[in-house]
Amino acid sequence: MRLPLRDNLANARKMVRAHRTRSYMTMLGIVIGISSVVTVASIGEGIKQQVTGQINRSGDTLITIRPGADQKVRGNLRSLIVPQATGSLSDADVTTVKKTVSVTQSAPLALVTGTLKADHGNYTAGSVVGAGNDLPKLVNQSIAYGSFFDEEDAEQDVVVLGAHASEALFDSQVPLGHTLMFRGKEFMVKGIFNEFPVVPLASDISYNDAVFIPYSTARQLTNNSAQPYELLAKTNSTKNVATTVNTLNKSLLKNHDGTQDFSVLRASDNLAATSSVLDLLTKLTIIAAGISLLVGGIGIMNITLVSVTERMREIGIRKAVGATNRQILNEFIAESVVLTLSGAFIGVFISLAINLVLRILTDLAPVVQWQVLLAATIVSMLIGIIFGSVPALKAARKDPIAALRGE
Amino acid sequence: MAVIELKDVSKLYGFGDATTLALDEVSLTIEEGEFVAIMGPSGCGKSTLMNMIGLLDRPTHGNFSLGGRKVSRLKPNRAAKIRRDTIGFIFQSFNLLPRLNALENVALPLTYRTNMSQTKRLKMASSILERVGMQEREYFMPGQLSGGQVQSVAIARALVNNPKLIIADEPTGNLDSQGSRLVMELLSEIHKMGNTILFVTHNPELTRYATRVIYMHDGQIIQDEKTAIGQVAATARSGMYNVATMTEEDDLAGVSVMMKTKPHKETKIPRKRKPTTKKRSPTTKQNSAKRAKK
Ligand SMILES: Nc1ncnc2c1ncn2[C@@H]1O[C@H](COP(=O)(O)OP(=O)(O)O)[C@@H](O)[C@H]1O
Ligand SMILES: [Mg+2]
Repeated sequence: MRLPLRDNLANARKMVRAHRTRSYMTMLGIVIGISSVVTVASIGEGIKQQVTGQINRSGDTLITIRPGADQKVRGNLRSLIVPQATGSLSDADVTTVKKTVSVTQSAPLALVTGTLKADHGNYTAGSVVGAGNDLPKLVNQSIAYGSFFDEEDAEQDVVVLGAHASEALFDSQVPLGHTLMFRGKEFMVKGIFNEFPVVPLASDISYNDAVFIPYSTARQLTNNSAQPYELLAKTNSTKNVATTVNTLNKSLLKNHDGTQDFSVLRASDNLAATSSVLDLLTKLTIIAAGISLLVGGIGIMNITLVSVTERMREIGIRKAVGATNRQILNEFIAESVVLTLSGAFIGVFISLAINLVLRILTDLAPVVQWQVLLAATIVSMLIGIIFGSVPALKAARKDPIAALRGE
Repeated sequence: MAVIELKDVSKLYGFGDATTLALDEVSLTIEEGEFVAIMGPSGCGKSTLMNMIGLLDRPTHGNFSLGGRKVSRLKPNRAAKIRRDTIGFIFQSFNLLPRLNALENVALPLTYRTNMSQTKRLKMASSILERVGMQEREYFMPGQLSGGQVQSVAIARALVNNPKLIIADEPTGNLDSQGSRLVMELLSEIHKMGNTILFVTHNPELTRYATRVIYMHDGQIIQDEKTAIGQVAATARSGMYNVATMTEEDDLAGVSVMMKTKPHKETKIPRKRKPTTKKRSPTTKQNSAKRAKK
């Protein structure tokens, strides 16, 4: 004979509302715990979806070659602390990649230092990148105005602008044919990229903020000292990716005298790296949130204990009119569950608000998964049941006469 | 049929030197339909007896049955269910849950019964409230009601389960004469419907409503008389309760007078301090009787 759950919850809500301030204070731990977990989880999911989206865009046939060994695991904690074997990519590597049979397109990317000047003065938001002609095809990105470099542009002083760089550098909406100054030379704008979708946490420089010059121009400008920070390559089909990665690795090893001071990465490796960063972040948050929830649970236990003491006469009367120990137990557990559940709902609500703000103010696009919401609900209910059962047992086991006397 | 049957029931509180004998081998039979007033100085064990009969407490020794069923050693949950289904309680104070309105308070015992819908519960509570003349204050909170009204709601709550037995421990203890009248009239009406009612009072006037008056002292029943409804019980009328029995000395004096049954003699009785512990010596009753004879 249990008091119907609905009645219990209705009663419990009444009690919670009767002590509004106290209830909200008690919920705080739960609110903070739940809102932080939900926020971090949804940011993480958002990033994963963005990264996956990018992989889908550029296709899983894209291969990235970077200097430095073990780039795959750069997401884990060890790689943040332990220095990696460094190395560099050379012009010879560029040629090797280009000549590999199964590689259909390839492009080196090299940073060129120097100040850039246009309508709005010095430009510092982005970098100047010497890029191979196949870049748009490799990253599957279209040019909004003009066109990207071709053979005729080799060693010419032309630039293609990232969408944001274009806005930042020039007054004109479409500054095709306009010029900018770089390393004492005048460069003419040949094309402007469409906006790249943003991928937070990616180690790549932002293409939207970048100013591209032909790779050959970059080499020439720097007296052949500019080295690629990255080589992009593409195979003709997904089936070939694994073998191509192997082939590339082998032939590049020869160039590097057998030292693995570079990495050949597949698109999915990028995702794995991002995932491992996110997993680490999520784990840390779960620990912090766990502490917060624990503190919240203890707070709820204390408040319910106070509530039990204050309501001794009520417990006595309830027992006198026929409430069994179990029914009293359920009533008080329902109260703490209502507290934790309300805390969880407030926490989720706060998290949704934070997500919205993040979407507006940053490149992040948090995604709330129903599994996370379900877990938040279940965890907060469990906290209510576990921490509420101590005071509830105290109430349930109270001798009715002692309770009626208010002892 | 005997609704209540107690045989040599004792209740001890505490242990060692601090042991209190709250009930001392009380034997008592109450038949269905009786309206019993219980009187006696404070601390004599009235509440202990009420709580025992109401299954809120268990006897230390002795046998006890309710409606023919042995209940001296019931498990708490069984006791709770019997309370729920067959007993209605009215206490002196703090009867109502402060956060529930009158209607919800009356419906409270029903919420502990199996699957009765809330609508049905409130409907039942409402009709009972109407019976005690409180239908216009269904949605009042206890704080908004007068003492008499609170007790009326408490009576409604005691009635809502349609119990055989109603136990009221000083239901008028906190009320003025008007409130007392209201409460007693209500109980009286319920009695006419066939319920068995036990109530504790200090006011001899209220024995008018009873069919039987039991006097207690030091955990024992020292007198048990049947009275006609409408008349103050003879012993009560004798005057022992005209003066509020505040101290133990007064209590003793009151009992002494009662022993003599002749009114207004208490002034002559030599007052003697009783031992401070409540431990009853077997000679107390004889002593008081002796003293009374002087
Ligand atoms: N829980 C308890 N612990 C110790 N002594 C108690 C307890 N309850 C009652 N008593 C004692 O038992 C005796 C009878 O008390 P009670 O039944 O409340 O008297 P009454 O209701 O007639 O005033 C008193 O001496 C009281 O002090
Ligand atoms: Mg009492």
